[in-house]
Amino acid sequence: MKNHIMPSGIAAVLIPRLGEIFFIAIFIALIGLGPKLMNVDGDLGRHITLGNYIISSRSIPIRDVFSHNKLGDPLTPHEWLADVVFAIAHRAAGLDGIVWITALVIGVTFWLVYKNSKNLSSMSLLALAGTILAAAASSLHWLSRPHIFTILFTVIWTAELEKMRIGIRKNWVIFPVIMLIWVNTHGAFIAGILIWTCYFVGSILDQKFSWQGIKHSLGIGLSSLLVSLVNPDGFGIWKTGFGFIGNQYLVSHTAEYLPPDFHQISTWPFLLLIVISIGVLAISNKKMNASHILLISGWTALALYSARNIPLYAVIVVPILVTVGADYLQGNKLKVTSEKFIALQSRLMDIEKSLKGGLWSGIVVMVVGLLLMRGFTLDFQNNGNKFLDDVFPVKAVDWVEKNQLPGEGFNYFPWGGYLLYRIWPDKLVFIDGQTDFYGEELTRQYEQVITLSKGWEDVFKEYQINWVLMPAQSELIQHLQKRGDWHTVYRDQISTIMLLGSGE
Amino acid sequence: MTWLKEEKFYLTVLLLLILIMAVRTPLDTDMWWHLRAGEETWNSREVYKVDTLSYTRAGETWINHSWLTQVLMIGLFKVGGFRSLSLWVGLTAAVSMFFIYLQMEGHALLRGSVVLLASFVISVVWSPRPQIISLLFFAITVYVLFRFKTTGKNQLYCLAPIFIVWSNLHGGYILGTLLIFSVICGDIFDQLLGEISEFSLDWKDIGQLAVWGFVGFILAAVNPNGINMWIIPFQTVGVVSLQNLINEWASPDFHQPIQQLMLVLLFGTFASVGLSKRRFAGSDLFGVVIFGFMALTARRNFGPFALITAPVLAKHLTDLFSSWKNKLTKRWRIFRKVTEFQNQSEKNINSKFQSLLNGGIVLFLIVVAFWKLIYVTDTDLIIKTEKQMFPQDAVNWLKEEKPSGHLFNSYNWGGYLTWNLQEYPVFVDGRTDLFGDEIIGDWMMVVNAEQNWQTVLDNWDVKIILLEKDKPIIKVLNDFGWIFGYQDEKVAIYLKE
Repeated sequence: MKNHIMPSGIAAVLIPRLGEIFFIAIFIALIGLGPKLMNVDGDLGRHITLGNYIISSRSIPIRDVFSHNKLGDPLTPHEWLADVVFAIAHRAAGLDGIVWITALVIGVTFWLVYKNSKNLSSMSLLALAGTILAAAASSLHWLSRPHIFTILFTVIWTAELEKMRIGIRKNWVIFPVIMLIWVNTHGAFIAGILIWTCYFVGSILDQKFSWQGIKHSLGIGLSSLLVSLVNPDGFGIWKTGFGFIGNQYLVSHTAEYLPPDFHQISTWPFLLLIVISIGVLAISNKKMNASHILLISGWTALALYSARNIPLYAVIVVPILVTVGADYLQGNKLKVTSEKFIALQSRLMDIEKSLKGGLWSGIVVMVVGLLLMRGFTLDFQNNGNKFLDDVFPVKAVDWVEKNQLPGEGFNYFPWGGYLLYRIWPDKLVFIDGQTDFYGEELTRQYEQVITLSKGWEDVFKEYQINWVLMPAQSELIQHLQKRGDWHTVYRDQISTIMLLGSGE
Repeated sequence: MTWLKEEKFYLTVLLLLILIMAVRTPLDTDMWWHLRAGEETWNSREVYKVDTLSYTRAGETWINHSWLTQVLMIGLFKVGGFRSLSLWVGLTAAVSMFFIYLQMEGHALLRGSVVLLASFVISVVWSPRPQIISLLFFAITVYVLFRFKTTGKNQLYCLAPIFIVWSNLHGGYILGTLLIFSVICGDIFDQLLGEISEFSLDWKDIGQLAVWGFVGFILAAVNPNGINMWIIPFQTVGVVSLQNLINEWASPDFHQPIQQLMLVLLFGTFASVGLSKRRFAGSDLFGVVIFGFMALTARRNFGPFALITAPVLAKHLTDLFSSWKNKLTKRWRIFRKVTEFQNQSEKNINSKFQSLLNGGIVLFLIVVAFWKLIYVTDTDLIIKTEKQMFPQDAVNWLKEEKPSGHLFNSYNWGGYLTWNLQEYPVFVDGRTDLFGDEIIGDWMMVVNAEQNWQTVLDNWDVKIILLEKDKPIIKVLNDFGWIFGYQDEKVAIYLKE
C-alpha cells in the first residue's frame, strides 16, 4: 500500500471534513429556503407568541390565554422550551432569527446522523450517501416548528442507546438528562421511550443480556419515564399526547398525521429507504441484532401510519442500514467492487482523522447570523423571511391593526397562529393549530360552521361571534355576503373580514 | 375419514372461514357496468367493444379486457341472481388462498393464521368484479413457479394457457408477467452473490422461465382486443385522474383499521425475516419489494402483495419459532415440561372423539357459510343496501318524470345508471381507461364548480344533473338558471331551465 501524505498544521485546520461540508450545504440550503420553512402552516406564530409570553411574564402558562372560547381552560404547554428558543431568536433577529435557528438545528441533526453512521460503519462515503437519503426523506417535514428538536433528540438518544448496546457507554445518567430537556421541548418525547423499548426487547430476544445489562437498561427506561413527569403539566403531558393520538377524528383532521401519499414525489426518498431496508434484510444474512430489526420494522410501520414520523424513521434507520451495508462490503461478497471501494474509504478515513474540522462550519453559521441581523436577505427568492401575503391574511391584519373589531371573532383555523403573532393580546382567536388543546368538540363546531352544516348559526350564538376573518372564496363568506345581517368591512384576494349587522 | 383428524381438517376449516368472510352482499360501483357490458356481449354474441353506454365516448372503440368475466358474471346473474355472484366471489377468494396455503411451510395452525391475516388484508378488494379473477390467476401462477422452484418439475408450459385465459378474463394478467420478472431478478441476484440454495434456479432454469414468461406475455394478445392487451395496463395506470378520484388507486390510508392489517403483515414480514436465521431468498426479496411498492402506491394492489408475502412470512416465522422453541427448552425446565406434556396429550387423545368433534366443527362452519350466503343476498337486504349506496329513488324519479336531454352524473354512480337507467347514457362511469383524463378532467371541473364549468355543460348539451348533494356545484346551480328537481338525503337532481 502506498504511503499518502496527510494534511497537517494549518492545512489540517483549513481543509474541511466531509461531514462539515455536508453540514454547511444543508445549512445554506435551509437559509435559502427560509420563507418556505415558515409559510407551510400557521403554527409558528403561536410558538413565537407563547415564547414571548413566557419570557415577558417569567411564567409558563398552564391555562389558556389565547382563545376567547377556552380562555382559562387547563393547557399542556408541551413545547414551552422550544417556544422560548424561537422567541429568543425572534427577539434577536426577527423572522430571520427563526430561520437561522431552524437551519442550525436541522444542519446539526444531519451532521450527527452522518457522524454516527460513519463511526459505526467506518465508511464515510457510505455514511454520506445514507445521510443524504435520510435528509431527503425528512425534508418533507422541515418546518420552523418545535418538532425539529425532536428529530435532533431522536438522533442523540438513539446514538447513546447504541453506545450502551455495544458497550462503549457504561454510565446511563445521560439518558434522564436528555429526556428532561426533550420532554419540555416537544410532546413527541414518547418516541424516545419507544426507541428504548426496541433496544430493551431486542436485547432480550438476542439473549445477550447480563443482569448488569438488564439493570442498566431498566435504569434508562424507568428514570426516563420518571423524568418525563418533570414538566409544567406533570402526568398531564402523557394524557394529552395519548388523548390526541387516540382521537381518530382529530388525528384524521391533522394533515401531518395522515399516512404518506406515495403519489407525491416528496415521499419517494422514504419509499427508497424502505426498499433499501428490505434489501439490507436480505443481504445481512444472520448479522443483524434484534434491536435493529425491531427499530427498522417498527418505525417503518409508524412512518407508514403517519407521515410526520418519516423524519424520525429516517434518522433512526439510516445509521443501521449504513452499518450493515458496510459489514456486507467488508465481507467481500462483490469482491472487485468491494476491494476498490474499501481501499478508497480507507484513504479517506485516514485523511479525515488528520483533519481538525469545525472552522468553516463555525464561520458560516456566524457570518450568516450576522448578515441576517444586519438585514441582508439571503433566501433564494431574495424576498426576505416574512409571512407571505398570499398564504396569510397579512393585509387584512394590517387593516385590523388600524381599525377596531368589536367583541369576539371567528377565524380560519390555519391562520390562528398568525393572528396571535400579529394581534394578540388585543384580540383572542376562535381556534389555532393547537388541536390537542381545542379538542374534538370545538374542532367539530369549527367544521360545522365552515361547511355551513345544520346548526352552524347556533355556534355563532354560543360564542357571541361579532366578526369573521376567513378566506375570500370560503363557503362561509359567500353565504354571509348573501345575507343582510352581515356586512363586509375588508376584502382582498386572500381574505375577507365581515361584521355582524347590516352596516347601515 | 382420516382427513378429519389430520392437517386437512385445519385446511378445510380455513377455507370455510375464508368463504364465510368473502361471501358478502354483492354490490359494487363497477359491478353494474360489467353486468351491462356482459349483457351486451351475451345478446349480440359479439364482444362488446364499441361504447354505447355513454354519450361522451359513444361510438368509440373500447379495449374491453374483461369481456369473458363479464359474460361469466351475467351468466351467473341470470342463473342465480345476486346469490350466485356472492357465491362466486366467496369461492374465488377461497380457492386463491388455497393455492397460497399449498406452498407454505410450518405447522398447519401457523399457516392458517398467516393465510387468515393475508385474507383480511386482501378482503378490501373482494367484490364482484373481474379483478378478483386476477387474484385467483395470480395465486395459481405463484403456485406454478413455486412448484418449478421446489420440485424441479418443469411445468412452465402451464403458463401459456394460464396467460391466454387470464388476459381474456382481466387486464391484470400483467401481474403475472411482473411476478415472473421478480422471480427472474431474484434468482439472478442470488446467482451473482453466490447465495445459492437448494431452491435456487440455475442459469438454465432462469433462461427457461424468461422464455415462458415472454411467451405468456405474447399470448396475452390471443384475445378479441389483440395486441391492445399489451397496452391496456399502461394506459390504465397512465390516467392521472385515477389517483384523485378513485380510492383504490390512492396510497393506503393506514388510519382505517382494515388497512392497518397491511401494516401488520409488513411489520411481521420485516421482523420475522430479520429475526429468523434463514436467508431472505432473492425471489422473495424482489417479490416483496415490487408488489410492496405497488401496494403502497395503490391500495388495489394489497391483493398481490399479500399473496406474495404470506408464504414468505410463514417460512420465516416457522424458522424463528423453531429456534426459539429449541433455545427455551434447552434453557428453561418449565418449557421442557410443557413440550413433554403436549406430546403426551397428543398421544392420549381419543381419536374417535376427535373425529366427531372435528366433523361437528366442519358441519357447523358449512351451515354458517350457507346461512351467511342466504342472509347477505336476501332481497330485502339487497334493496336496503342498494338504497344506501346508490341513488335508487332518484333513478325512479327520473323514470317517472322522464326529463329530456343529456345527463351529467356522479362518477361513483355511473355504473349503476348504465344498468338501472338504460334510457339515459351517462357522462362518465368506472371505465376510466375509456374516458381518460380529458373527460374525467371535464367532470371534475364541473363538480368542483371550477372556472369554465358552464362551458363544459354547454358543450355536451347537458340538461340534467344528478350528483351527490354535497358537491360544490350543487350549491351554485340555482344562481345559474338551473331548476331544482329532486333531493333526498344523498342525491340532488337539477334540470336546465
